[in-house]
Amino acid sequence: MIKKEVKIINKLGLHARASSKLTQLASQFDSEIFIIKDSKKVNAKNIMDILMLAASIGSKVELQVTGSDEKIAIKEVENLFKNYFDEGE
Amino acid sequence: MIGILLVTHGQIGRSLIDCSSNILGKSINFLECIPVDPKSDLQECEKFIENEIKNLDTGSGVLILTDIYGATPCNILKKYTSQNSIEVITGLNLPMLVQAITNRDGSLSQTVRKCMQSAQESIIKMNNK
Repeated sequence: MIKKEVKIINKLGLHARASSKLTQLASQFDSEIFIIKDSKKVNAKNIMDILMLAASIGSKVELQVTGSDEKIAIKEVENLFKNYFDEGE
Repeated sequence: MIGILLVTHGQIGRSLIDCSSNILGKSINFLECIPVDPKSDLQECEKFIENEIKNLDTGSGVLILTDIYGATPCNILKKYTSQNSIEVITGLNLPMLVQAITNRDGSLSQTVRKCMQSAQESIIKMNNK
């Protein structure tokens, strides 16, 4: 298992469309991918689970990835956060 | 893939489909809606429902979502509740629909469980007072 803390830097946080992008990316990997915020752990492949985190800009979440492609999966997921979910801000 | 049919008051169903498409960033297949309003001919509505069920059922069944329990759109669906390949859920909201769209490759009962869970869990009183 690989763990990594990431900060949400996009203006709108983990809102609906950003969560949708995250689930679409996460679903491309065989690994199990979880997101943890304030001790709440959700499946990154389920959009409604992610939305229930209500994670806004400035929040820190932990990524937990387990599986055969965990290295590439955590890197790509982290990049999505770092790239503002391709929203430009 | 499980087909999804929305049977709602007026254009609620159409609007929820549009919003789901925007959120998911794509158009969505095997998802249709039938509006019911005070001027609707109910026998005609039932024909539309029959047709849509046939079109939407690819072998995995059809999930029918409606808004208010006990209202006309709900009541005209009662005849389908005894069919194994059809499930009807009331209390339709956007979280329920998004969950249905993104979790419909397994069994119909699994999709129903997830939809109901999402719809209920997403009703939250946000004030701490």
